[in-house]
Amino acid sequence: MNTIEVQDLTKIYPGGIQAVRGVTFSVTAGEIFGFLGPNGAGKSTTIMMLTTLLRITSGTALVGGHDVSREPVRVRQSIGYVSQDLAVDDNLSGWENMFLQAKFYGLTQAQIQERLPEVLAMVNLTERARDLVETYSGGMRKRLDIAEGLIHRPQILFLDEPTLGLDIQTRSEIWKYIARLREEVGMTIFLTTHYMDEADRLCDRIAIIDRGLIKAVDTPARLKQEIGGDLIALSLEGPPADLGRAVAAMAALPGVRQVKPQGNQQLVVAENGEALVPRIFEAVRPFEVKITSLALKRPSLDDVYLHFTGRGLRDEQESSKEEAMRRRLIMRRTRR
Amino acid sequence: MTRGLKFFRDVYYVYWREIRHFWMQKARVVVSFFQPLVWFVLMGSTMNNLTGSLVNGSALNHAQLTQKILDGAPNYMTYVVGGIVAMTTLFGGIFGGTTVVWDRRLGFLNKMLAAPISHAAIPLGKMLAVALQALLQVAVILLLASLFGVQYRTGALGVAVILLIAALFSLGMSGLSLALGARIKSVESLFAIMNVLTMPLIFSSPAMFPARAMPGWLQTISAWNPVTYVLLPIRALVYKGWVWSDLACGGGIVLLFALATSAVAVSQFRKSIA
Repeated sequence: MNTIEVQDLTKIYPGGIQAVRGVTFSVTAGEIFGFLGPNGAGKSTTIMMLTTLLRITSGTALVGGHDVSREPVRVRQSIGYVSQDLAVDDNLSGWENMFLQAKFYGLTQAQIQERLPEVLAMVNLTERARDLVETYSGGMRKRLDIAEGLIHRPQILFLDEPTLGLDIQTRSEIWKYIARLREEVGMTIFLTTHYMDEADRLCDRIAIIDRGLIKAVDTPARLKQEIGGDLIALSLEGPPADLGRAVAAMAALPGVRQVKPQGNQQLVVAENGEALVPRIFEAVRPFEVKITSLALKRPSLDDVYLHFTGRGLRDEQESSKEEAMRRRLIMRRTRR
Repeated sequence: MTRGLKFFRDVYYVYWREIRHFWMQKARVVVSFFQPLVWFVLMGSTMNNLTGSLVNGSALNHAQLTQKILDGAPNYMTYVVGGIVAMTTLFGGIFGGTTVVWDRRLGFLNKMLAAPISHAAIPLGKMLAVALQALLQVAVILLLASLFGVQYRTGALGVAVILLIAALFSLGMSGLSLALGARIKSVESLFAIMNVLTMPLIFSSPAMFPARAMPGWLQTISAWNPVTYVLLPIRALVYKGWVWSDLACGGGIVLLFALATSAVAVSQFRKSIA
């Protein structure tokens, strides 16, 4: 059964910027589904449309069986949303933050008495619950934020960049909590990330999104297979004519599937990379070409990303000054 | 639970959060009570002496002069109470909207918008919190003023009506400010706009100086300034008595102002503002 069904979802901002350009995908109940892409690829815009925070320009989206445009309140009742902003209130205690959230979701006093301690214990915040959030570390705040998203036992949890700005230790701690959620509660989780390791480790399936379009959707393992072999990254130096002939010679070698430029390097996709390396040196010898560096590796999601989008996964420009300010503020609040 | 009841609960919990913030920030509480005191002690007492000496050194009788200089108030302190009440309420109200810009920057606004609460409850809860703060501040001002010898002609009931008018005006100003905050997304721009708004609003009204002393063009502006209509009933209650025409005119306009800005704020929040 699909808990999220998205058809041709499009968002065009006033001013004509096409943030999301007709994406179609579905998420099965109990699955952890990830949107992988750089900042500005359309991940947050998609998540904000699915959580009813942004109006959709065209297309349809059903979340928990409800149409986001026609039944926004129903959608909001069935989802939990944890934004990338660390949206906890520093001037309240952890308990008060949870209490407020519970009240916003219309929980009764009895439900609050029962669930608050339970959820706080799950994220290991029981002892600090009465302290002001001001005194919390970045990781504690993130855990509190996630706990708030769980208080009304939503069918689907949306996590926008769950470990943005957190240090490595805290990130793996958050991953542990997310994995536990799926195991213990069987919750469907939709997350966005621009960290490959995060997508690789958490997600059952990944959608690779670039400039508002989905380039591929599959399990991490199958996406890696898609590349079809080992990768050899080469830096070559020499006159352009010789370079061209050298590349052609490499491409003609048996076992080589593809040779393509990547930045100022050439990327060779091939089976059995180790055996190929000496033959590459032989193949380029007749030309005025020098190999200045060579790296052999097994495909990672980084390479998958490159394969599908033709470029590396790096941050694009911030959309606005206010956006940049917000991002800096998140960084400052997480690094405590 | 019925929808109406749910709506009031939503408003209440937005309000609850704001009030928690207010009491959490001890410094803010102290400052908010300290400011009116500064106006009273520093400006009030000097002006009191200035206007007092004018009255005493003149050949006209006391009643004629106070009528002429102070709009009928027995002394400047009594005159300016209404002005300080209006000014404090104006400031508190107009900066009330900045909380929404902070909430947006911290991501808390999205959290509230993604929750199944009525979006209209967000501005209304915040406005109520601002109004309650104004109510407390005004109560302190009125108490302080009586320590400085101001006597309220309409007694305790009049004071209650003053509090009510101040609260209404505060709702109106914070509604305006929230409507602006829903549109203007940077804290810096919003603060700039508000700073530009506040002082002209005060000095183009008879808050500090009687309308009689204003040049004609300023009097015209003053007639369109909502602050003028806050002052009208408050001044009447402080030193004129139950002047029903002033109460009806001022009270009516302040009420309309509050209703209009709340409606604008609510409609802004009903749209997508994330």
